[in-house]
Amino acid sequence: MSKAFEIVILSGKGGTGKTSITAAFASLAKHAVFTDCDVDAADLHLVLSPDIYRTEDFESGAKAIVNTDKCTGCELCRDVCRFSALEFKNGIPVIDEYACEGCGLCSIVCPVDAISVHNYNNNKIYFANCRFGPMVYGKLGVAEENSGKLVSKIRQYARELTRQHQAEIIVTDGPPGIGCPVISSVTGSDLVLAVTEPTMSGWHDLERLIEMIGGFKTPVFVVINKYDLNEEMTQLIEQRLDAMNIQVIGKIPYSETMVLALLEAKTINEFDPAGYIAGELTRIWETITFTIKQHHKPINI
Amino acid sequence: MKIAFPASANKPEALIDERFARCPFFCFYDFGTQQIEFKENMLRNGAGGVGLQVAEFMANNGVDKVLAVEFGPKAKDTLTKLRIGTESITSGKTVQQIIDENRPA
Amino acid sequence: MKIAITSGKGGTGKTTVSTGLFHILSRYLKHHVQLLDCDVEEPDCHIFIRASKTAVYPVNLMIPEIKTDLCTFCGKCKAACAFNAIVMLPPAKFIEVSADMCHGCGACSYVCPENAIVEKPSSIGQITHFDYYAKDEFIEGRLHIGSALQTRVIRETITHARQQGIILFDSPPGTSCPVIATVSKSDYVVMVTEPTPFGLNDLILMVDTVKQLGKKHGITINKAGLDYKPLYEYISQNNIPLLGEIPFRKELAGAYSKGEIVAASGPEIRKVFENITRKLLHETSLNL
Repeated sequence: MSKAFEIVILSGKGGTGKTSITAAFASLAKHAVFTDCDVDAADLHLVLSPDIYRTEDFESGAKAIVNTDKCTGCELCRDVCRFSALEFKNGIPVIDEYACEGCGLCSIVCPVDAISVHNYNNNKIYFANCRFGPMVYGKLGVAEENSGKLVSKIRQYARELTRQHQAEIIVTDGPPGIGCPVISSVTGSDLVLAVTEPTMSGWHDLERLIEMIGGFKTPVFVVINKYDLNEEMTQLIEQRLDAMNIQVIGKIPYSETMVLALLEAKTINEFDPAGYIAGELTRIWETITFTIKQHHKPINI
Repeated sequence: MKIAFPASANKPEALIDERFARCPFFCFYDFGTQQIEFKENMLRNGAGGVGLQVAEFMANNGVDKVLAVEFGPKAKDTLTKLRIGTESITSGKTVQQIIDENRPA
Repeated sequence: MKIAITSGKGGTGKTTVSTGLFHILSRYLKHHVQLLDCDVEEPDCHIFIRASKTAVYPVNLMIPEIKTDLCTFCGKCKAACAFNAIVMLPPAKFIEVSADMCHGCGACSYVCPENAIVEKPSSIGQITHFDYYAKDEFIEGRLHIGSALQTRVIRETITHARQQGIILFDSPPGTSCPVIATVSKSDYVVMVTEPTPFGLNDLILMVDTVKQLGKKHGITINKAGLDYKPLYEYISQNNIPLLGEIPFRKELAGAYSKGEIVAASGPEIRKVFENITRKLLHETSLNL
């Protein structure tokens, strides 16, 4: 049995239609496992309506806690903290839990052992089945952190699910941006599909995303969504990507159908299977799966 | 020469594990003594930097080469720095198969 | 007064709102205002704000380097490191800090009895200051590509604001640590959403986060026009002030795509933004 292929759908800029496109792929993919790694604003489940059969708690970071009874007010802890997470109010240390990174240096320097570091488990991982196959996704606890590790863990579980279900492909709805959860989504994946829009900010964000992915040598394809909102910009993006040797494998026009499908919790290919957009997305999906299989053949024979 | 690879359980008929740093067991095989040894991977549930620490664990166990289906980029870098070789293997094989394939003639 | 402009979902028009508020406050309502682009992974405000660059500052992380000739391999640094960033192999005289894992907390150099650890600055981002019509300022935080320490760049960017007038934070999207780093330093939060199921789902997450942080807040609906009732019901049931609605118009999308400040693209839309700004000032109890 060979390793399942992992496709990650990213965008740099949010709101380009990443999740709607991922959902459309879900209705086209066979023998697939789906994940939503946009853990702080997961939306894929709104379309795929998964039935959750198991929920797991996941670590959400470590924070320092002060035992104020023991504290002598020496203020050593505040002096060493590089995250400005400790302040003294009326002689009592107060920890800014949103600034604390849990490094524990304050507890190391404390001469009376008044500070300890606690681990929290407020993030969630959901195991589910949806009408297109197994799904695993995560949700960050309110005001919690550790999104990068949560993404790594979700992907690890997705790989385990592919073995159990003999699935061939993992389709991941990735997070926006280029920071730690995005890095965790791209690491070790087989192909990135970047969804952009013909706006200056769409291009700016895509350029940064491509540079970030360049460090991983993962192949990248681009889809320009709502391309007709500014055709001049679309052309410019195509030219620039061409110069970078990156292929635009599809262009999708602006259409209200996207939102109308969403209102009925359907993928665009379920809502309007004979429509132009559904056809274009089918073609894009076939290009992706064909390429990825070509790309991997020599390794798996 | 001593090799190591991830195993899903501590017995020769068990399948190898596809994860490197977070596998449940490591199997060590010494070409010289022909000894097979399993060690539980106590590092696997660490919060972060597991790949690095497993690489260090390999070095402390005198391993010359690590075989795995997938290596994390940091684990691979660190293994190289510690002068430990890395080699890719395909999944679906048993511990015994891997040993047989690597046993010197 | 520090106001964070956020959105649970990306692409709802957060930057449209923050650049619009900045422009209206600065040009029409004659306030002293600073705009901070805290979306350091994908800072986009500069595309819309035509301002002149005045200064650039690096954001550094202090990364430890262990001098193997001084090191006795006692293992104290490794034990102190909460991020498992130190790899040590005494027989080979090998010890190294993985810069990717390091948070720059300084615990290792603090505990080292041999003074064998030196810390060297490593750049993770930069902060750029711009002048906006002489009286106002635009400050951009930008994460270097490949770095995962976005919150550090955000915190540093916020320290660059002068403590006077109105300070606007263009927050990153979502609800995770970069958003917390921004919102926790604000006095009031403007949440931008859109009338779709995705918009509502992510708005609810955002409201939970903002309530947890105990911040006063209001909502702006962008791309309004689609009568998505659940959103309006949620807003009224939860008694959240609706600061205003920005209509969906193809010409506004066109102005945005070309990098124009949407609020300045026509008299009608300017009026919409002026009303939102006045309502916001009223909510934050600032007098005009």
